[in-house]
Amino acid sequence: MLHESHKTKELKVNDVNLSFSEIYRKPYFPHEHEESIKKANLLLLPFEGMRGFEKPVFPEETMSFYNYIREYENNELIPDICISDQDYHELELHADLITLPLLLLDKVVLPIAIGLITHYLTQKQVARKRDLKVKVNVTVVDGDKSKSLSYEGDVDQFEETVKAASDNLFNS
Amino acid sequence: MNFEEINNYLQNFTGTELRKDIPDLLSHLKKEALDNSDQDLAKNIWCLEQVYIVIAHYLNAFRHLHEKDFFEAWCQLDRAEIELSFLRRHFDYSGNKYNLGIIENHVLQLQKMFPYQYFFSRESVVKKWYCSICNEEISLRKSCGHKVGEIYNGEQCCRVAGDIEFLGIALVTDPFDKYTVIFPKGLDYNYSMLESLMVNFKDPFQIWELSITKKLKVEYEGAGKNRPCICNSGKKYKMCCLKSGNDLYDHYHINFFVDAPTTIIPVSEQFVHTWK
Repeated sequence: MLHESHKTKELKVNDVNLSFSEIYRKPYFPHEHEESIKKANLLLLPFEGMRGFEKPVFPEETMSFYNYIREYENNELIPDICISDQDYHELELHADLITLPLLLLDKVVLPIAIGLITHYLTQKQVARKRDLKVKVNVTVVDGDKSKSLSYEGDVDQFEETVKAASDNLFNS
Repeated sequence: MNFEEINNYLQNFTGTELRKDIPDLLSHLKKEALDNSDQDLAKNIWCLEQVYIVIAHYLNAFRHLHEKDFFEAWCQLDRAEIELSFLRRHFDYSGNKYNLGIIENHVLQLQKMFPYQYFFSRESVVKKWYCSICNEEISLRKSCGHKVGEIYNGEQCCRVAGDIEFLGIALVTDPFDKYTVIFPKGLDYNYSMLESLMVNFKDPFQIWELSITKKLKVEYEGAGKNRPCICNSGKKYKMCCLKSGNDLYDHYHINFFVDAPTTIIPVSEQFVHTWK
């Protein structure tokens, strides 16, 4: 999670081992919210081992993003965040770069997730009235396989870039 | 002055110094509105307070630019931009109402003309958040109901960070806090671009436009694409500086839009470096 980006649109796609069941075994998994988190098909995850801080951290404004996705009206989407209220810590880097928390989601809701992220980022850009950069890392679980899509670049290039890759990877 | 009179004053203001009694008058009007449980009026008064603050920061910046107090001008422009961003979602200033369109444009353009390139950025972990309206502690799953950015009782809701653990400082080129400019020992920033602008920029609401275009550096003129790059990288020009854009520089051009062009003193083309 660096402070800034000079990229226009970069998308890296990798096969990864991350799955929902692996997240349920994480030390930070909040067992008091187990029931609701295990129903979720989109989970916000923290970064681990950032800047030597021993506990997992979320990027700044994750709470606002979490509230936004909870209020996003869609019957198929079941979002949640994988941390207890007490352990929720935000890492502030005070750079003019939007970094979203790690997203782990089921392939079925990927198009919805792309739409909601795009809408969230566009709102931010309109409010700031200047071009913004963003870093987004989405891990898509497709059966027993997972792929991570890491986007870094201009806010207004996000939707087109990730949607094209998503169509190519998951709908072909 | 009542609300309408203050509104008209701010809407038609084109001077260099605002009346100093306006904030107190607005504060008094807001208290009256809240005593009458008139939330809409309290919100409208908050909007006028923000308009006043934005104009005041902008005028301060303009004054500091003329006094060649450039860093203070930079900080004032930053505040004007931030305060305007708070106002934007609640207030329609399309069509340059209250001159906010000119201010918004000039702030962004002036910022581009400063030589600052590197800044400090704070790294910290925030463990607790509070609501600025009700002071309640906010957690992920427990909210007080107040929404960030909305106006309650004539005040904008924001989150107040508490229990902060400082981790470090980073060097960045695009900070959120623009006042964190680095001033290296023994080096002086070169503000000649702003100094040239201020020769003609006499009225804070004067209209001018900055355009920035890419131009080829003199040393690359006539360079063959398949010839060795003149930066001595050992690569061909087309695979080196032509590809990376290192053969180009930013050309800043300012056009003033005035009724009497003869009042503008032309500035000849000059190369400006970050440092003196």
